[in-house]
Amino acid sequence: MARFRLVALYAYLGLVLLLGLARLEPHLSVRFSSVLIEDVQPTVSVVGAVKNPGLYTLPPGARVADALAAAGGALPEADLDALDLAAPVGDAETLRVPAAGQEAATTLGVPPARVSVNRASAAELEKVPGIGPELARRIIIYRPYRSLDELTRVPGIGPRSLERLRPYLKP
Amino acid sequence: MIPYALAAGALLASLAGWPWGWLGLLAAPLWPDRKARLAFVLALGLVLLRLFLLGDPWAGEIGREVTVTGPLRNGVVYDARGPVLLEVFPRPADGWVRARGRLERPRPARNPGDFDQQVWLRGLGVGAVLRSADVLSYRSEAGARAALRRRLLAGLTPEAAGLLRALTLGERTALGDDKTAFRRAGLAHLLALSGLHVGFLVGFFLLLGLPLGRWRYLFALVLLLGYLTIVGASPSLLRATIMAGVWLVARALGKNDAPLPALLALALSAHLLLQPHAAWSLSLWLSYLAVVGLLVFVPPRRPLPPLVSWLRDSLYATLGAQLAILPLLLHFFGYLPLFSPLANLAALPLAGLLVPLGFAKAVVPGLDFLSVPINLLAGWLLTIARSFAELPSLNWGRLDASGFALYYLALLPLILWWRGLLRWETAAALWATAVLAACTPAPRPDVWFLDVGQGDAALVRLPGNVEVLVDGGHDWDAARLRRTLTALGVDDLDLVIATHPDSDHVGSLPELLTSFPTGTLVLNPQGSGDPLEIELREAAARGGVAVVEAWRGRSLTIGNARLDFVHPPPNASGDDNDRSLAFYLSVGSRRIFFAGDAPASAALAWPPRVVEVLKVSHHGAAGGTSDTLLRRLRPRHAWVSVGRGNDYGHPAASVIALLEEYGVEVHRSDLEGAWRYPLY
Repeated sequence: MARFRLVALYAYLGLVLLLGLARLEPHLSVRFSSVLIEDVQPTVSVVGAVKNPGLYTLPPGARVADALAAAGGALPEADLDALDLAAPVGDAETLRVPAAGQEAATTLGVPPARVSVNRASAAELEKVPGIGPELARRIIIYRPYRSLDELTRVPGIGPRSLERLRPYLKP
Repeated sequence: MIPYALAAGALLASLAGWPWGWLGLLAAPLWPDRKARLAFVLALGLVLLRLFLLGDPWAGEIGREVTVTGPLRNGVVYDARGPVLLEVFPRPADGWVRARGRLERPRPARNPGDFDQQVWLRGLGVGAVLRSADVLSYRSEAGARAALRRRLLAGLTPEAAGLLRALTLGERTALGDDKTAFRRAGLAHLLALSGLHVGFLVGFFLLLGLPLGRWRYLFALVLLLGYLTIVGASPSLLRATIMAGVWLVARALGKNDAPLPALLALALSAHLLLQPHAAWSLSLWLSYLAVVGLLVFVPPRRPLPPLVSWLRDSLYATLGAQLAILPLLLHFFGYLPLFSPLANLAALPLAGLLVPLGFAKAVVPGLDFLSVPINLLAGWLLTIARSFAELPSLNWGRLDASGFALYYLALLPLILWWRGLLRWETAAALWATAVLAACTPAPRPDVWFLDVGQGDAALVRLPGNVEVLVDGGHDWDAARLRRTLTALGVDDLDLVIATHPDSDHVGSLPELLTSFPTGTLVLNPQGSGDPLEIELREAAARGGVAVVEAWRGRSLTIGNARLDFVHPPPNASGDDNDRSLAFYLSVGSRRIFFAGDAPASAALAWPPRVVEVLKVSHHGAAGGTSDTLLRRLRPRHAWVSVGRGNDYGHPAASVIALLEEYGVEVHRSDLEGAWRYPLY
């Protein structure tokens, strides 16, 4: 009986030691869990000058050109120069393919039209990312500008912020 | 019994404070004999009386402009009315100062692991801080201490000078980076003037006073008190001085068998009577517990060769002290140097020579020749500290109350067995049961939204030691963030998400990626070639961190969490905020939306899902939260990470009003500091 008690004690101690070491182990070593990456198949709406306008589900990583192809290709009158065919498409987006001569009013694949710092209204200026109502008002006060570089006259626009704003603006 | 009753009464009174401490009288009947009961009540009453007399000298002055005058020591001005912490940058060296500023209460810690000014000052008995202070006049100290320092440092190498200032005068800041080396090597206690130093000094004084016969004990006592007044009464030094003082008096009276545990208890009660607030200071607990551990574990003397018995005693002493303070070390410092007993064996004899040598050189003029051995010994000690600092340590985070309780419950049977009061089988079984209880509760998942001022940072802790950091605040938050991560028990980050390369979100990440083990870094789609983005990618490459880009439609699964990114679209244009990552984090049935700085105008493109918590976009700016967004997410809580008194007008009143309209419970970093949300 005494021997049995001792064996039970050893077993108990061993188990507890194992458990304790298992709890200590992560604190003594560095181990990273694996990260699993999944991409949904983007579903896009293709409308405008294409053969079969409609909703299409594309493989992950698809480009504007893939979306066009899924819609049966562009019509002859489509203005493909207005599109950035290599741009990736995101889920829940609309691709509007303009016909030649039509203004490209689209959400995807087209660089946004630049806003004129000399002519635009305050509301138009505010559409530019990084320009709020206050800054738009000040930009109007300090007109005219011969080049975009002169924007640094406006309080609140430094060389850094000018570089950020430049892609959206024209004189 | 009486010394212990005194100590218990004093401790109870200083922890409970005025006026609730009187409830401690209910514990009086616990003492079996009448004398001890009386001692308990006496100590309790005296300490409470002392607390009452100290009062709160600044109660009526908080929020006002105040001028304080007095000696400055370690940043605290000891004005005649009461001590005040002087907050001025750069902090002047010790001296005498007159300063004017706004008086405020100390601030509590904003994040787990932050330096807690409130608790630190409470332990020093300082209840107020002079903020935005102007120093009106300042005199550097010209007193005894400066003269001592001058004599001490003459002829020492800069390294040795820094070490000796710390070792003999307790000026630890002079040590610079080597302070960290001592801490990492487990030798920090050498730098806190304590029983060790007092022991060495008393031994040295007694040797000097040998011709005086029995009077040498009083001679040593006088010298010791002089030393105490010069270097200042830190808790550990005061403890050691009281113990040594009582021992010396007992010796002078011819009583040679004063038991050390009783001495310690007496010292505690006297200590708390002098400084009742010290019961709240970490150094007091470290100091007393270390001595308790030492007394418990050093076995009674047995006839052994001197070297063997010295080796054995010092090893048991460091191990015992270490065991007694282990949970405090892990809780407050986050790690345990595994080789500190060895480091101590090597370093203690050197310190034992350096302390009296330095003291002699500082006090007695004309001992400049001592700089040769001091330089040599200091060099060795520094080498030991630096090399042991490189060795591995056990990392741990904060402990909760049950953690502390279970640790000491596990230790108690071992002590009883060690002292021969318990059979080993019983002790082992009791120990194992406590360990079992400590191991069983599995850590539960949660999210810590951290306070990094006008910035963003959140830590997600998942079962299985999986940790995800979402943004990290400014570059100046890096050190603080690391402390917080350590305190939260994070040894490595499995995933770091940099929502967009703005300095208030990812400023600290380049440093963190190179110094903190990190698995994977998630970036928003490659864009403008922003300098911060380039820096992040370079840091990831240097730290060997895998980089993954994310955009709308991409999902990451790690541990039992799933991250569904909904912003930005892969072809996004616009500024950094427009292209910020935004994602749903789902753990079980709980869901949180991290909006980064993404604009709410894009919310219609995000698949609507009901969430528990919304990390409000862009620090609560008007463009980050909209009616549409809240209608689609229906959050129950919202976290707004925003700096106090920021210049951007964040958070916008309209956003707060909108959140309230939807019945969302708003938590703000500027008002409540870090916020924990449980994911179970």
